[in-house]
Amino acid sequence: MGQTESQSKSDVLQGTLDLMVLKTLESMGPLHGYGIARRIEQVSGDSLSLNQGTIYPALLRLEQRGWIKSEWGVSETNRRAKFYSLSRIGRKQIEMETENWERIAATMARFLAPSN
Amino acid sequence: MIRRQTPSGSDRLRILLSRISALFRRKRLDAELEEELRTHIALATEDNTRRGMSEQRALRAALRSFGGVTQTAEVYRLQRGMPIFEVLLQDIRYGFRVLRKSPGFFLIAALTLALGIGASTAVFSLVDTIVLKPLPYPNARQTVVLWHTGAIGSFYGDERFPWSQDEFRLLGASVTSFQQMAGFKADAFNLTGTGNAELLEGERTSADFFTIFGMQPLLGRTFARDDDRPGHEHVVVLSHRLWSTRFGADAGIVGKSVDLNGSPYTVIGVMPPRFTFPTTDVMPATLNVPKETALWVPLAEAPSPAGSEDRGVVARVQSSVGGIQIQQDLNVFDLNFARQFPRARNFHAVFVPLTQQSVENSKRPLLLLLASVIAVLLIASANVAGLTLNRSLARRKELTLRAALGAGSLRIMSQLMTESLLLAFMGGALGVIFGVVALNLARRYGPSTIPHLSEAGMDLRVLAFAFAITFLSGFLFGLGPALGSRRVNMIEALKERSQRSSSGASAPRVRNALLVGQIAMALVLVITAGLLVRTFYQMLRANSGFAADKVIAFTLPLSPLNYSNPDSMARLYGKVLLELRSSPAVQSAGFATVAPMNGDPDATVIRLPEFPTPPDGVRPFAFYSFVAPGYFSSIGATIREGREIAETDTASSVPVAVINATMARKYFPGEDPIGKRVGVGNPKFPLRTVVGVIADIKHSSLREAASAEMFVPYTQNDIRVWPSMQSMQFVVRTKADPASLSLQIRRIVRSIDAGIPVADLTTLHEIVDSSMTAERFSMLLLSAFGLLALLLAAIGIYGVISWSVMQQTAEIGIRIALGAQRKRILLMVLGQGARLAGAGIGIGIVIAFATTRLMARFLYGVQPTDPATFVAVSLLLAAIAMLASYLPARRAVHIDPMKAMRQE
Repeated sequence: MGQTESQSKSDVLQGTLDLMVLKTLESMGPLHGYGIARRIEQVSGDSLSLNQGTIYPALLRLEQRGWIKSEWGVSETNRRAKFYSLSRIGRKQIEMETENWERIAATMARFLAPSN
Repeated sequence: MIRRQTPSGSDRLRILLSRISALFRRKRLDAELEEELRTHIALATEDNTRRGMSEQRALRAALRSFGGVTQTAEVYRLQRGMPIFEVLLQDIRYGFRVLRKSPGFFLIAALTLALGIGASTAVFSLVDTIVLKPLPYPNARQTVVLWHTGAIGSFYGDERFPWSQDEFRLLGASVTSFQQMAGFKADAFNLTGTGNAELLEGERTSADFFTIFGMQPLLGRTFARDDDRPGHEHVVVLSHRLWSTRFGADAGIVGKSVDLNGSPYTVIGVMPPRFTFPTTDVMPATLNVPKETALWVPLAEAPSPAGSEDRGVVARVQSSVGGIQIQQDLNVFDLNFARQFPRARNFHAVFVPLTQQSVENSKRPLLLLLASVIAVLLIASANVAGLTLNRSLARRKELTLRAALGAGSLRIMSQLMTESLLLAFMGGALGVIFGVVALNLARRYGPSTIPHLSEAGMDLRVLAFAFAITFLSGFLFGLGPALGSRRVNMIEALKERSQRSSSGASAPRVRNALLVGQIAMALVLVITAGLLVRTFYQMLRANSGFAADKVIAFTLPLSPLNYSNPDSMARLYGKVLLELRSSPAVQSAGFATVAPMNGDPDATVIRLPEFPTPPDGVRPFAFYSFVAPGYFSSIGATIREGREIAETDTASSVPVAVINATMARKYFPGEDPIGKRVGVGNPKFPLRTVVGVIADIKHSSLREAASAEMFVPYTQNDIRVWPSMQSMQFVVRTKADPASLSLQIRRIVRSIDAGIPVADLTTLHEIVDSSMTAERFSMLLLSAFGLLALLLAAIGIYGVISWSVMQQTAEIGIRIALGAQRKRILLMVLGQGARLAGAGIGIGIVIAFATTRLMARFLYGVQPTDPATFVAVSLLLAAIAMLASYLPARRAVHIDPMKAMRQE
C-alpha cells in the first residue's frame, strides 16, 4: 500500500536510527521527539542529513515493541510535549543491538579495507 | 540488505496488541500525533528564532528539516494500526452513510429481510427442537420401539401394531441383542381418598422400563424386579405433574400410601418433569397411550394365554449391536411366532429407533413448513437483490467517479459487498427479534400434539443458523451489484447520461428475471396455503356423522374392585342414564363404548352368512362396540335405514345390531341390509339381526376414511369378557347451555356411587375442535407465509415498475409533449407490470402443478391441482400485481413534460 517504497529506502537506516534513538535516550534520559532528532544531528556532527520526521515512525516502532515508553510532559519552553524514555526491556536491548551493530560494522569494514 | 529487522516472537505479539488497541483509539491517537508534530515544529521554530532567524524563515526552516509532515503522519498511521481493518471500518462507515442517505430503501430492504430471516429462524428453531434434537433421555439413542406389522400389501399394510402378552413373552425368549426389554400398556386409575375422585391415565410397565431410558427418579426409586410380580405390584411412581398438582410437591411423599382403583398403593418414587413417556404425540395411533402419563405401576402379570394386543415394547440395544443384527434376531422371533401361531404367519416384527419414532407424527408437517419458509426467504432475498440492483444502477455515476479518482475495482467491489452485508445484518438482527416474537406466539397457540413445542426457543444453534442465512442472503443479493460494478467503465457511464431511456442494459434484465421468479414462488406458496385452507374447511364441512352442538360428553370408569361383573356394570350405567334423562335440562342421553371422535373402538373378525369369504381372502372385519338406547339420537346421528337401538332390545329379546353405511355398502352391496345376519367370528356366539343403518361416525379425525362398524345394545352382552364395559362414555344432548349442566351431572353420579369419578367432562364440540389443532396450526402458519409472500411480491413489483418509470421519465415526458394520451401512458406502464406478472404466474402454475402433489397427504377433500384454488390464487396475484404497478403508473401519467426534459 505504498508502504513498501518508503520502507526499502529507510531499510538501511531503520536499524541504525533505532539504535541511535535508544543510545540517545540512554545518555540523555527522557526527551521529546524534537530533542532526540536534534541530539542525533549534533552527535553525528551534521554528517547525517536526516529528515527529522523519520524519527516518529522509529519512535512508534520502538514503542510498539515495548522498548521505550512515552508520557506527556512540559518542555523547557513550557510547551506540552511527548517525552520518551527507555523501558526495562529497552535497556537490555541496547546491549544486544550494539553488539549486533558492531558485528555488522566490523564485517563491512573488512569488505572495505584496502587489503590484498 | 545489511540488516532486516525481524522482530522476535514476543515482540511480534506486543506489536500486534499495540496495533489492535490503536484501532480503537484512533481519534485520540490522531489528535496526539498531530499535537506531537505541531510541538516539534514549534520547538524547532523557537530554536531557529533564537539563532536569529526571522519568524517566517524560522518556520520554513523547521518545516524543511522535518521533511513532509503529512507523509510522516501517513506512514506513522499505517504503521500504527491495521490497514485492512481500517479499510473495512472505512467501508462500513461509508456504507452506513450511504444507507442513511436513502432511508426509504434501507427501511424496506431491512424489513423485507427481517421478515424472511425471522420466519426462517423461527421455523428452524421448531424443526431443531422437534426433529433434530433427541429426546431428553440419557439412553434415547440406544432405545428402540418394537412393533408387529402385516406383510406389505396385506389388509393391514405397513401399519404398526402393538403386542399381546404371550407375543411379548415369546419376543423376550427369541431375541438376544437387547440389554433390557420392557412392555407397557395404558390403564386408567381412579384416584380416591384425598379430595375428589379423579381418573388418571397411567401405564403398567415391566420392571426394566425406566432403566431402558436411563432415567433416574427425582425422588425415591423406580421399579425393582420384585415389584413386577403378581401380588407385589401395589407400588406406584408418580409423574412430576401429578406430584406437584395433586400432592402439593410433598417432599416426603415416598413411602406414603394412595388409593388407586380402591386399593392402597405405596408411592416409591417421583419422576423428573421431562419424563412423561409414553404420550400420544410420540406413539402411533394403533397403540393406546395417555395424552400425558400421570403415573406408572408394575405390569406384574400372571401368565395367561389369552389377551389382546395392548402393549408397546421398548428395548435397549447393546451398543455393539447394529440394526442388521437386531433385524436378524427379530426374524428368529418371526419363525418362532409362525410356529406357535400358524394362523398369523403374515405378521412380522420390526424395530424403530426411539428418536425416529418420536418425531414420526410431526416430521412431515414441519418439513412442509421448512420448505415454505425457505421459499419466503428466497422471495425476500430476490426482492432485496432487485432493490440493490436498482440502486447500484442509480449509483453508477458515483462509482465511476470513485474509479476515476483511482479506486481499484476490487476496492469498489468490496465497498459494495460491505454495504450489502451491512444491510443483511441489520435485517438479520431485526429478523431474530421477529423470530423470538413468532416463537412465543407458536408456543402459546401451537397445538399440544407437537412434542417439545414448549422447548422451542432461541439458542446458540438457532442463532448460528440465523447468522448463516443472513450472511448467505447478504452475499447473494450483494453479488449482482458487486460483479456489475466491474463492468462500469467511464465511457459507458458517460454515454449512459444521454441514453437514459434505453432499456437494453443487462441489469434490468436480471432484475426482471428476479421479479418473475419471485412472483412464481409466491404463487406456489399461496397455492399451497390455499389448498390447506380448503382442506381445513372441507374438514369442517365433512360429514362427521353427528351434530356436535349442545352435546356434553363424559366418561364413567368403574373400579374393577367394586365392579367386576358386566351385569353390575350395566345396571349402574342404566341407573345413571335414567337419572340423567329425568333432568329437565336434558333433551336426550345415551352412552357407548367410545363417543364420537374419542378414538377407535375395538375391532373383530366378523361372520356374515350372506357374504361368504373367499378361501384365501381377507376375512371380514369390523369395529364392534356397545351402545345404549338414545345414544344415536343424542349425538344427532343420521339413521339411514331401519331403527336405532331401543329400550326393547334386552337380554331376552332377539340379538340385534346397527351397522354403519360403510359396512352396509361393503358387505351387502346393492341389497337391503335390514334383516341380514351378522356376528363375531367365533361361531359359539349367535348371529345378530341388522335392524338399522346409520351414517358413518368419525372416530379420531374428521378426515379419516370410514371403516365397517357395528353397534350392539349393551344389554345384549353375550361375550361378556369383550368388549370391556369397565368404562362407558356418556353423551347428553342439552336443552340449554351445556356448561350449566356439568355440576348437575357430577351430582347425579355422586348420588349413585360417590366412588366413581366423572372423567373427561367436555363438549363434543371441544373434542372435535381439539382434533383439528394440528391442521389449524399448519393452515394458519402457511397462510401467514402466503400473505408474507404476497406482500413481498407486491413490494417487488412496485419497486421494479417505479424504477422503470423513473428511468423513462424523459421518454414519457417527450411522448406527453408530442400529444400521447395519458391513458396510453397508463396502459403502457400497467402493461409492463402485467407482462412480468403474467410470466411469473405462468411459471408459478407449472411449478405448482409439479410440486403440490408432494403435499397430497396433508390434503382432504381437495385435489393437489384443485383448479379453483389455482385460478383464484392466480387472479389474486394478478390483481395485486396490477395494484402495485398502478401507483407508479399514475405517477407516470402526471409527469410534467417540461420538468422531465429539463432533467436531461
